[in-house]
Amino acid sequence: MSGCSLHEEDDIFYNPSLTGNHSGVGEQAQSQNPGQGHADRIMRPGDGLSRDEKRILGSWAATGHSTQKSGEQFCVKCKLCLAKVIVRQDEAICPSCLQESIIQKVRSVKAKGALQAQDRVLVAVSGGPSSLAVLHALMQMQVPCGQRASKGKLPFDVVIAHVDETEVYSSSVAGGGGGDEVAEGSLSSTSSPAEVDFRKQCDVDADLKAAVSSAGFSGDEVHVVELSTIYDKGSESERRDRLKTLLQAATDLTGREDLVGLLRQMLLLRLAEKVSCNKVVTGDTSTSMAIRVIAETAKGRGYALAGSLQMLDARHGSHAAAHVMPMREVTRKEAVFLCRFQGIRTMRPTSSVMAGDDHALLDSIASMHSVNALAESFIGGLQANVPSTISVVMRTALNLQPFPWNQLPDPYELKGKVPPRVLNDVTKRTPVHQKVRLSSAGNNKASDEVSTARELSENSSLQHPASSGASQDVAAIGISLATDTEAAADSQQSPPESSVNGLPTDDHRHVSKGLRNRAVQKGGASYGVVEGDGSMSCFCALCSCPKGLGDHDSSGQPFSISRVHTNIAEVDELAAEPVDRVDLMSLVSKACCRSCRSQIIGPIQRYLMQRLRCSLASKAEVYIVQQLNTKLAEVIPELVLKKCILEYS
Amino acid sequence: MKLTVEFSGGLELLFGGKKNIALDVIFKNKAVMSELLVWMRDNLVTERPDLFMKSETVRPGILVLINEADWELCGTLDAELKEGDNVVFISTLHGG
Repeated sequence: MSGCSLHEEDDIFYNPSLTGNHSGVGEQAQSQNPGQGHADRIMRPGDGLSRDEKRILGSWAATGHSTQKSGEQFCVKCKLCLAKVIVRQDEAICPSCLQESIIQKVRSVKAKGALQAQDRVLVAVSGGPSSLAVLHALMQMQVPCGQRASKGKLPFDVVIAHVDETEVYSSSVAGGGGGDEVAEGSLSSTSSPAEVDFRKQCDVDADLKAAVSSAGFSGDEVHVVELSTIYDKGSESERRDRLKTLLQAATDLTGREDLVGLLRQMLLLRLAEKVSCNKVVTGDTSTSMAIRVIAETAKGRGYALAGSLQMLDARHGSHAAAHVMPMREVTRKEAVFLCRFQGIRTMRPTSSVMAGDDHALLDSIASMHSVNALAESFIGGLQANVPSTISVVMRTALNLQPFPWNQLPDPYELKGKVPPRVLNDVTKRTPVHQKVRLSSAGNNKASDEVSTARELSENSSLQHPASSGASQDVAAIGISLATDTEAAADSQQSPPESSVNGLPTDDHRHVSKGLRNRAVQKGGASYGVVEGDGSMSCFCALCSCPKGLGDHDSSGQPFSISRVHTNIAEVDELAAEPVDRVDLMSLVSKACCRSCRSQIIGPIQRYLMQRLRCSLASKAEVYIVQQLNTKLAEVIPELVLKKCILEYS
Repeated sequence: MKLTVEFSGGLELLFGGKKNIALDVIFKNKAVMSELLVWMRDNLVTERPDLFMKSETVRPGILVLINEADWELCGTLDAELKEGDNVVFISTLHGG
């Protein structure tokens, strides 16, 4: 989610490196102060204009030449190739940067765990640009199952599914006025001439094969299913008639469109089960989602809306396929351009509204007799004038709390493939992997830790210059982590060494690799010791310090990973009402040692900062953040990490 | 001026089902996109011109490419056209 506001990225075009090499051609619209740092730059006719004015005037403003057909601008990202498309609000990028950015966004499903190795993925290809774009991006990051996963690639199987709705609609149904006309008009029988003609016009199978192969798909599992196969009994014509009867019962166009959408979803899920796919991927773009926000709100379906705006939708439980939407941060325009630049052939859609008589199609688009069409026209019209429309709508809608089945897999579970080692019967008492709803702050653990480390190092150097030795060490650790972000993320992926109850042992994500290894050797041999009298002393799962049970929180549980998660969830709940300083501090005090405490403080701090930015924070929260900053400063000079390890060596 | 126009995403329905058309346009004033659009509406659109254009510009949801580049880079309606240019109109309704 790009989440642009109208005021962000003011100086996106302001790039000092451009002026030296590309003095004439290739400069983007400049910032409004051309004199800043560019004393040697020639003043151009476009200087002094606002960015919007420059964009509208195009190349003339940038280069000063009066007649230049195509604005010879360079891509703002790579600055090497000519820009060919404007995305977001005013970023002009080249085809390869567009490809790169879309693939990166789709690839994030892997990092977030929505797509995992050995998945069988059913890609629902409607033939339109966004579904083909997501297929293209997925094929770039895929190796077939059974092969070794090379860097950046994930082994998963791709199965194509296309729902063919051509047989359903004929002229009187697809368009026309409201309920009356539709009810009177007859849905065509299977042998009406118009339908047969249309079917001859487009060979769905061939078109689909051409489309998916142009997107890079070379497998042979392609399923074209007619919508009428939602019924599993009866002959083909019987099923079609049944479907028509059903659709005719929905007398308003909006209801009918939604019903068709629902049937389509059901059919995809059923097909996924039939071909043993555990994930269904669709090409829902941010544009589609913004339209859905408006349409569903207008229909009074606000409560359930949040569930369909997330990356993962597993509402049908763990035994049905989960719905993944990797394109939720890509606009439809970007998808269209991607297909165009990459030579991906799109199909004539076989969805209900587009099939059948052309007049009906045109009528339906123009008449806007459904809430969905109205929402589409609303978003499209507004976006044309205000390019930040889609991102603002999405940012607002994403404030809605998602449902539990939207939750992405626990990053610990992602890598935890080590069988637990039972330690007498203590582990049975220990709750493992309590799944709690995480706030958004807690989801991406790797980057959280790295930025915490960076904050730690910054704080240390600023606030305690006296204890230079300690702060230097911490700063060194912080720096080694800040530069080693990929390694930090990967360390989560590596299989943990002998852990007892599935919890990973090498959890010192905030420790540099050398120190971490020592810690694991020291404290990682076992997770606890049973004393003679039956009591147990456990090691803290986070820092491996051997604190007795009593030293942990009051519930008697050893301070484990799940506990950290629970604490963050508590913050979540606490923050629903004005946060009390005492509550937060008590939360922080549950840590067994300072290293664990600093690990809690990070996410809390980040969460509160996020809320501050949203201007929802009360004065109490502002105070707490300041307090936490002070707390952190106290924590650092004692070399939280090293001491914790050395103490128990 | 000789130009080629291409239609995609269902727009061909408004132009008699043709996806590619070679044109020879006589511009009244300057050879800019706004003039081309008006010319197309008057001479090329076979039905429902309101689905192609809305108040002197293309209907929202229709993307325009001039020589495979976004027309917003060239000045949208004020983009100048040269001999042999290729203009593509893509409808993004029902993005799929």
